[in-house]
Formats: sequence, structure tokens, C-alpha cells
Amino acid sequence: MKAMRPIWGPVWVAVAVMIAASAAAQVVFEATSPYHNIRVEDRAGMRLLTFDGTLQTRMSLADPLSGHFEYIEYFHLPWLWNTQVSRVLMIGLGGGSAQRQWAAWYPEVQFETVEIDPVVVRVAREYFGLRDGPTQKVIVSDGRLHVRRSRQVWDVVLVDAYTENRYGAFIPYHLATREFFGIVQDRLSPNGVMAYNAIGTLSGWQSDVICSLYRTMTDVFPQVYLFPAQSSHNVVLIATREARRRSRAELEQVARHLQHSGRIRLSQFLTRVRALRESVPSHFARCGILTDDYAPVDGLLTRGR
Amino acid sequence: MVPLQPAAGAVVAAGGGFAILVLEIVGARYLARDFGSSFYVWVSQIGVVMIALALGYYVGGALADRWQRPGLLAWLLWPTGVFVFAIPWLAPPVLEALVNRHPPDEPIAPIWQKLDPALGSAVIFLWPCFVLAMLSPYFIRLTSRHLAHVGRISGLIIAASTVGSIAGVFAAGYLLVDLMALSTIFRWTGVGVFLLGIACWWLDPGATLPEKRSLT
Repeated sequence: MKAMRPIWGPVWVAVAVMIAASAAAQVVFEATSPYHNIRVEDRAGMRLLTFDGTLQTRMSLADPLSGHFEYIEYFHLPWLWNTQVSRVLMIGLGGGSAQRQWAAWYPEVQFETVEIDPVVVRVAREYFGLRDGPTQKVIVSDGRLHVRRSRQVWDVVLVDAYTENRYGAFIPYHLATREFFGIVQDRLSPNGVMAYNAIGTLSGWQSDVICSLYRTMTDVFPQVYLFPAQSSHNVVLIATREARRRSRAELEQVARHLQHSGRIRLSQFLTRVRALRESVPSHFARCGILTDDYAPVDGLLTRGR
Repeated sequence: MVPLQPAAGAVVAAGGGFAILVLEIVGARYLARDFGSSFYVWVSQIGVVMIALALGYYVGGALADRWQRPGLLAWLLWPTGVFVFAIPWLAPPVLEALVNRHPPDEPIAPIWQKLDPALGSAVIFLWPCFVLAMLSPYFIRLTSRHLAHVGRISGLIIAASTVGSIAGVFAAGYLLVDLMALSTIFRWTGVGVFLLGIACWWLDPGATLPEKRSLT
């Protein structure tokens, strides 16, 4: 799971420094896997997971269902398009924030996670309360290989495979191409939804990557919706097999209904729905489609814009 | 007739070193499509290329003693260039068959998670890297006229080949992957390997015949 870039004002920086100084961090686990230097530490009532020194997951020790990053909450939005979700696949485990919420709020949903790093799976089980059970399953494999080799049908596919370190954000290129999205669409049920977390902004930092992802997804899926997070530089892209474009007003109406019926228990659900960016930035037209043959994601990411 | 100069051998060996590393770096990215971006893909790619180098150095050296003419290399490099040019068409069905031989919906056994990328890499990259690795020992043999100079000449040619590899790794990783499609990079590398064959053919008349040389 990805860390985010908080947009701190100077006041918050001061507060953060004070908190950091007053609450000594306690390292509870550290290991180096083939993919990352993985560290778990407890600080100021929060359990933190870092990969190579950058924050991936935050969980409140008192209430494991809180303390998570904002972007995790956008992974509940697929319910807007499919109110009968019964099978979910998530690519990328991290500290299992989404898994905890889905297990607690939708215990009847079959939730499968594929994670490439076996050490991350161990850490999520031991330190972040990930429970394997009849409805929660974790597989150690490459995400694309798993989807491609599977003959299952999912209602929702969640993708959270970005990693970030001091040198920037990194996206596995084979999870960003037209061919990959084609495989995902093929495994989705007729009104299936894909939610994809990306690190960047719509028109500033790393917007080239976001618009390339958007253009690539729209080449495969009939509709793609943009949800920029408010407290961090994350954009969650939602791609639907449903051909019809839904307006924000319509989505808000469905959201209210889902909250009333008790289906959705996330308190900020309506706020997250309202984050929808209805008009696509004009510069998105300039971006290219990423393919297996040509996906210069590293170059796009290091170019900054 | 002008004898074959060590500098000419160094240039060809550098071209070979460049091509080997372009294939290694671009190849690792190419394999991710079928085997994922797992750690084992990189391990396999590096391991397979090192196997190709070891075999190429050994066989190349032995062939050089037996046939002391660069023309022989041309006959090896030309089909290899065509093979590299054709990777974008040849590789996908082979790699797909490797992945699809495992039953779907069941996890792949840990041993095959490790070995499949190595097999895939070997099918595509072992032969071209093996042939390209022959260039260094071959040209060391062809351009060494006196035993007293073998040290300097072998040092020159191995260094040139390594400098070519260094250029190849950075060119591939920093530039080519961002600027060109993977299939385009393979095709240009194929053209480059074919041109190395032409260079070896062109250098052939300058090489002294076995009976005329005195390696003493």
C-alpha cells in the first residue's frame, strides 16, 4: 500500500515535529525482503508500516479501523456501480487497511488479495491484524500473472501497487498498460468495477502519469472517473464496464441510499463521492496510451510534471 | 595486405558488449509481461546472460584457435542478428506456452516461480548473448602477434567489450526504454548484430592465415 504525500502547511509541520519529538518511535519489526526494507514502528498511538523509509500504512492501535490514509476510503466507491458486490480481488497488500475495513463491514464478501512480497504478507498478519479466513484469502504472486492465470470472475478489482521512496514514486509498468487493463476487464462481471490508486495530481506533480493512466484506461473501459484525494497527492481512478456516464448528483443519490440502508458504514462516504472531478483537465488529451510494447512509466515519473 | 589491428578487434568487441547489455536490460522488462516484475525475473536474466558469457568465452576461444578468420564470426552473427530482429514475433508464443502449461487457478509451484523466468530468458537470450560473447576471445587470438603483447591486447579487448557493456546498460535503462517501443529496440539491436557480422566479414581478408602467424 502506498504512502501519500501529505500537503502540510507550516503549522502542521510544527505540530508533526512536536509529536515526533514527544512520542518516541518504537521499532517492533524490521526486515529486508527482495523488494523493500520493511519496518513496523509504533509512534503516538499509531502503528506505521514503512518501505524503504516511506510510509505505506498507518493504523490506530486503539481502533484498527481508523488511522488509515484517505485514499483507502475511495476503494469503497465501487459499491456505487454495483450494489451486489460478492467477489473482490485486490492487487497489493501493504498493511492491509482495505482488507481490515472490508472484512469488518462486508464480512460476506469473498475478498482475495495478491501480493508479490511474502515478507509483506507475514508483516500484515502479525502486526496489522490481517486474518485469513473463509472470505479473506492472500496469495503470494505477481498481480498481473495471477489475474491472467485465473478463470474467476470478480465484481471489483482494487489495484494498489504503487511504491514510493525518497527518489519518487514507482509503478510496475506491466500493471499500467492497455493489455493489463484488457485482462482485468475480461475477468470482471458485467457491471464490474476497477478502482486504481495512483500517486500524482491532476495538473501538477506527476500529472503526466495520471493522464497516461486515464487515457490508457479509457481506451479499454467505457467509463473512467477521477477521484483526487484531498489530503494527499493520490488520485483514485475508477473504471466501469457500465457504458453509461453517471453524474455526480446521481452518484451522491446512490451514496445516500447505500448509507441509509446500512450497506455502507464509512462515515465520510459522501465526502469521498463528492471528490469526483467531472471535467477532465484539457492537457489530458496530449498524453499517450501505455502499452506492453511502450510504457515509459519511469521516464514519465521522473519528469516530474 | 594489412594485418588485423587490435583496435579493430576492440571496436567489434565493444559493439558486442553493447548489444549484450541492451538485450539483458530490455529483456528483463520484456519478461515482466509474462512472468511479472518479480525479483526472480531479474535474477534469471542476470544468471542466464552470465551463463551465455561463460559459454561464449570458452567456445569463442576454442573456435579462434581452430579457425583463425573473423569471417567465421560473420556466419554466426548474421543468423543471430535475424533472430534478435525477430524476437518480437518469436518470443510471445514461447513465453505464453511456458506460463500456460501450469493449470489455471492453482498457484505455480515455488520451484517454477523461480525457474520459469530463467527458462523463458534462456529461450530468447541465451543464444544471442552466447554468440556475442565469442567476439572478445576471438579477436584477442586474431590480433595477438607476439606472446609478449598478449597481456596488453587481451586487456584492451576485454576492457573495450566492458566499456561497450557499460554504455549499453545506461543507454538501454536511461534512454531507450523511455524513447522507443521494446519491439523497436529489439529490431535495432538485431540490425546492429547483423552489422557486426558485416564488420567481421569485411575484416576477414586482413587476418593472417594460420601458417603465416608466429605466436612466439
